[in-house]
Amino acid sequence: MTESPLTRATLLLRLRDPSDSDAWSEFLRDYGPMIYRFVRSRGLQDADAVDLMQDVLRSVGMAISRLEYEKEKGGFRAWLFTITRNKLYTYFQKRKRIGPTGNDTAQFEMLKQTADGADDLKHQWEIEHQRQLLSRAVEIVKPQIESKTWEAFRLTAVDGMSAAEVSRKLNMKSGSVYVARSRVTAKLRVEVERLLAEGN
Amino acid sequence: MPVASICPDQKTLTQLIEGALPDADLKRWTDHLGDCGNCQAAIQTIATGAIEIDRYVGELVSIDPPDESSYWQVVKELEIDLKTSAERPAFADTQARSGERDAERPSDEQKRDLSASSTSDFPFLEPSSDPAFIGQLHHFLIARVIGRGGMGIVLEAFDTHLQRNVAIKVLNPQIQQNEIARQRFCREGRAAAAISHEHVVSMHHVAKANEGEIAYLVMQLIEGETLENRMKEGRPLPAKEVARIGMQIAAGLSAAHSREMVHRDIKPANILIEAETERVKLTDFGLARATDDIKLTKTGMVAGTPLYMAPEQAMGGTTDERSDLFSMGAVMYEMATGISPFQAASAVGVMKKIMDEMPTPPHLINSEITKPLSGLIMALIAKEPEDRPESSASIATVLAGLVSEFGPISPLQVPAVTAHEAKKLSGNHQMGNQQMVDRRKMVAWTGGVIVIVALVIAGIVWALQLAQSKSQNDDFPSVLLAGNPGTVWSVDFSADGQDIAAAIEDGSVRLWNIETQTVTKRFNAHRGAVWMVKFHPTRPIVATCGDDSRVKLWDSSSFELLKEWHAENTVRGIAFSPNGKRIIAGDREGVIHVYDIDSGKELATASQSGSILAIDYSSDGKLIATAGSDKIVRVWDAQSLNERQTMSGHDGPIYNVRFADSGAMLATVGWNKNIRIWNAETGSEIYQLDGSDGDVWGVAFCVDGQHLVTGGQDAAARVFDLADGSVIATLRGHESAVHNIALDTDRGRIATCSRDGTIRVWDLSRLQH
Repeated sequence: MTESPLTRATLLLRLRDPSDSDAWSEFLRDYGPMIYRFVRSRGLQDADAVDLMQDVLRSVGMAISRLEYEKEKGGFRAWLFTITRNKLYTYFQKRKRIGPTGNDTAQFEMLKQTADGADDLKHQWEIEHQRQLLSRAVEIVKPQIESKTWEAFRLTAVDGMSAAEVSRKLNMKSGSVYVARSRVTAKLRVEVERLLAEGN
Repeated sequence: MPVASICPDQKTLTQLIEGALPDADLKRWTDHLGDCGNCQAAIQTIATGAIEIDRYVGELVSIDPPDESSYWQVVKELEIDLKTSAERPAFADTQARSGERDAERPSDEQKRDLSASSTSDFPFLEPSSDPAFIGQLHHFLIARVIGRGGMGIVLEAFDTHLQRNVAIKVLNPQIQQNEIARQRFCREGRAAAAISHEHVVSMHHVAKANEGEIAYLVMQLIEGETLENRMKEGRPLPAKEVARIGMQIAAGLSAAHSREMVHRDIKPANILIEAETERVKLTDFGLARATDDIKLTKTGMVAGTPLYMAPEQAMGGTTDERSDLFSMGAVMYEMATGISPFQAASAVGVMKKIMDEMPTPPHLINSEITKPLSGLIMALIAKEPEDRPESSASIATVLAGLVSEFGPISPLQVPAVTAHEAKKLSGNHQMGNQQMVDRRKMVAWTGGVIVIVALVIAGIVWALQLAQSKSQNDDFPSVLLAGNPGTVWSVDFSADGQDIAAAIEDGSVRLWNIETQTVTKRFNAHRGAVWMVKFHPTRPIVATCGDDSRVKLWDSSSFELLKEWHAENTVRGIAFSPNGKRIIAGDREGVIHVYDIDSGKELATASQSGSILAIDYSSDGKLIATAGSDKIVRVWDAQSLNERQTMSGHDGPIYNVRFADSGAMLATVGWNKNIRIWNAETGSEIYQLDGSDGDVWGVAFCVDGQHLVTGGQDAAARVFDLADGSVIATLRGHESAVHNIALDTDRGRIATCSRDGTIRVWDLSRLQH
C-alpha cells in the first residue's frame, strides 16, 4: 500500500460510482472486518455473519448515492450502524420463526429496544469502530517506526511480555522498552484521533 | 550508574514520548523508567490518552476474522467482482429495486471507465470500437455484466443487427470444454427457443461453438430483479402476490409443458420479475441438464442446496412436468411463509426433509394465506408425483381464481394460457366441471381431511363465481404470439382459422400456428416495412404490400411469389374484391390501383389528394372506400372509379376504413380518438363513438355489423355495441399501440397486432350469445 488511503469524505463520494473498484475495495478493507466482528459479537455463526455482512454491503451500494448518511445524526458511521442493526433485526426475526435459541431471544429483545437498550449495542459498535481505526493506524504508523522500537512495542503491548523479558530478547535497556512502548502507543493514538476526526 | 530518584513530571514524560528531550535527559529518564513502576504506568497513561489504545492494542492479533472464516473467500470473490464489473455483480441483482433503479444505473462515463480494465477478463470478447462498451462478440456489443451463475456469465449486450438490447449467457469454461454438456446446452437452448410466452424469457438465438469459438445463448433482456432477491429479507410476500406470482409461474410452465419440455430447475433465482410491469418471467429452461453433467462428474454429487428439488429428482430418478410443479410449490411455500419448506443445515439434511417430511401448512404460519391457497401449495409439494395437481395450465387457472379473491387485479397480469386452455376458460360450464375434477385430485393427498377438501372446493367455486360476475366484460383470455422482430402492422386469419399471417416492420411475413403458438413459416416479403397481409377470400393466395411500393401475391402453402405489381409509392392498404377476382391498392401518392389477379393487368387507376392510408371493398363489391392523410373519407364506384361520396368530419389523418359485412355501413378511425360510422350510400355520418384513449389505428365490424372492434394508441382493443354505442369489452394485454385487427367470424375470435411485436388472439365467442 504505497498510495495514501483516501480520506473518508473522498471515499464516500467515490463509492457513489459503482464501478470505482478501488474505492469499493478500500471500503471493504476498512469496514468489512468491523461489520463481521460486530455481528459475530451478537452471537452469529461465521457463515451467517458473512452473509449478513454482504447484505449490509449491498444495501450500502444501493443507497449510498442518496447521501442519506448526511442527514443521519452521527454521519456515515451511524448510518452504517443503522443498516447493520436493521439487518440483524431481520436476521433474528427470521430465526425466531424457525426456532429461537436463548441467545436469539435476548438479542432480539435488545434489537427491539430503541433509545436506552440500544446504547449497549451502539457502544459495542463504537468499540469495533475504534478497533478498526487502530488497525488502520497500525498500517500507517508502523512504517515510520524503527523496527527494534516496533518490536519492543509489539512484544510488550500485543504479546504481553514483560519489559524485562523484552529487554533481554532485544538486548535493550528495560527503560528503553517502556519508552519504546509509550512512543508507539502515543503515535497510534494520534493517528486514531486523526482518523476519528476525519470520519466525523 | 546514577539513577534519578525523583520522578519526572508530566511534562517531562510527554517530552520523553515525543523525543523532545536533550540526550542527557533522555538517557537519565529512560534509565529511571527501567526501575520506577509509578513512572512506567504514568508514561503509558499519557501515551494512551482518552482512547483505550492499550486495550485494543492487546487485541490486535484477533482484529481480523479468523483464517478459516468464509469471510476471506467472500471478500476475495467480492474483490474480483469489483474489478471485473461496472455494477458489482455481487450487488447486481438488487439493481432494479423500485426507486433505486436510476441511482444504480451507471452513466456512460462509468461504463467507459470500465472498458479499459475489463476486456482482458473476458478473453472471448473482441475489443469494441465504441468505448461505451466492454467489448464485442460477433455482432453484439457488450455493455456490462448482469450476473454470474453456476453455469456462466450473463451479459447485457446490444444487437447491432436488430438494433435492440439483449441478454447473452456465455457458458463457463468448464462447460465449454465438456463436449456433451456443450451440445446439451445448445440443444436445450434451441428447445427453449420454441417457447414463446409472456411469462417465459424469450430465447432469440443459440450460438453453437465453431472452431475456437464459444457457445452462448442470446435472450430477451429483462430489466428487473429475481424472486430470490425479492424474498431475501426472509419475510412472507403479500398473499395476493403469492397467488399472482404463482399464477404466472404456472402459466409460463404450461407453455413449456405443452411442448413436453421440463424446466428441471425452478427456483427463486430463475424467476425474474420485470421492473415496470411486475410480470414474472421464467428463465433457464432445461439448462439444468447441461450443468448436471458437469457437477456429477466433478464432485460426484449435485452441487448447491437442492432446496426446491422434487423427491424423485433428489433421488436421481426420472423427472417430468410434475417435478416442476413440486419445485413451483416449494417456491410458493417460501413466498407464503418467508421460509423455505425443506430448509436444513446441510444439503443432505435438505434432501432428507424433501424425502420424509411435510412442512407445516402455510396458512398456519401466516394467517394472511387463505386455506385454499395453502391447500394448493401443499398439494404441489406432495411427495408422490401422482398426488400433485394435474397440469400447470389448470393450476394457472385455479390461481387466477384465487388471485381475484384478494381483490381486483389488473387484466395485464392475467396470463395468456395455451390456446387449448383459452378455449376452456371462455366456455362457461365446461370449465367448472373440469376444475372440480382437478381440484379433487389435487387435494387427495390430505388423506381424508375432509373439512379442508370441502373448504377448498367451496373456495374455488366461490372464486370462480366471483371472477365471472366481476369480469363479465373484460379479462378475456388471449393466446399470445410473441417475439416478432418489430411492430406487427397487420394480421389476417387463414380460411381454416388455424393460422395467422403477420406483416412485420422488418420486411418479413410470419405465419403462426395458433394452437401450437409457433412460427411455421417466415420469409422476407418487402424491402422496408410490410404494411398489410391479406388472405384471399377463396383461393390459396396471400397478398402483401409494403414500403417498397410493391403489391405481391404469394402461394399460401409454399409462399412462392406468384405476382407482383409496382405502385407509385409506399402501399399502406390493399383489399381483395369479395368475388376474389381483383385486388385494390392505395399508395402514398394518393393513387388507387385496381389489379386483375388472373391476368395481372392493371384495370383502372384514380387519384386523390394526400396519401391513402387505408382502402376497402364493400361487401357486394360495388363500392371502394379510401381514407388517408387529407381527413376525407371517399367512396368510389368500384368499376369506373368515379368518386361517389366525400365525407368530412375527421379532424386529423384517418388510419383505417372498413365496410360492414353487409350493407353500406362504413367505419373509419384515426387521429385523436376518432371513431366514426357512415352510410356510404348517402354520405351521411351515423355515429361517433367515444371511449378510446388516444389515436385509433385499427377497426373491424363483427357479429353481422352489431359490434365494432377498434384498437389504438392506448394499447387496448375495444368492442362497441353499435345498438347504443356502449363499450362492451376492453381487451388489454398489449404493451403498446394496437395497429390492426383481424376477424375469425366462424369461431368468434379476433386477432390484434401491436407495436410491442406481439399478436394476441382473443376468444370472444361468449359475446355472440
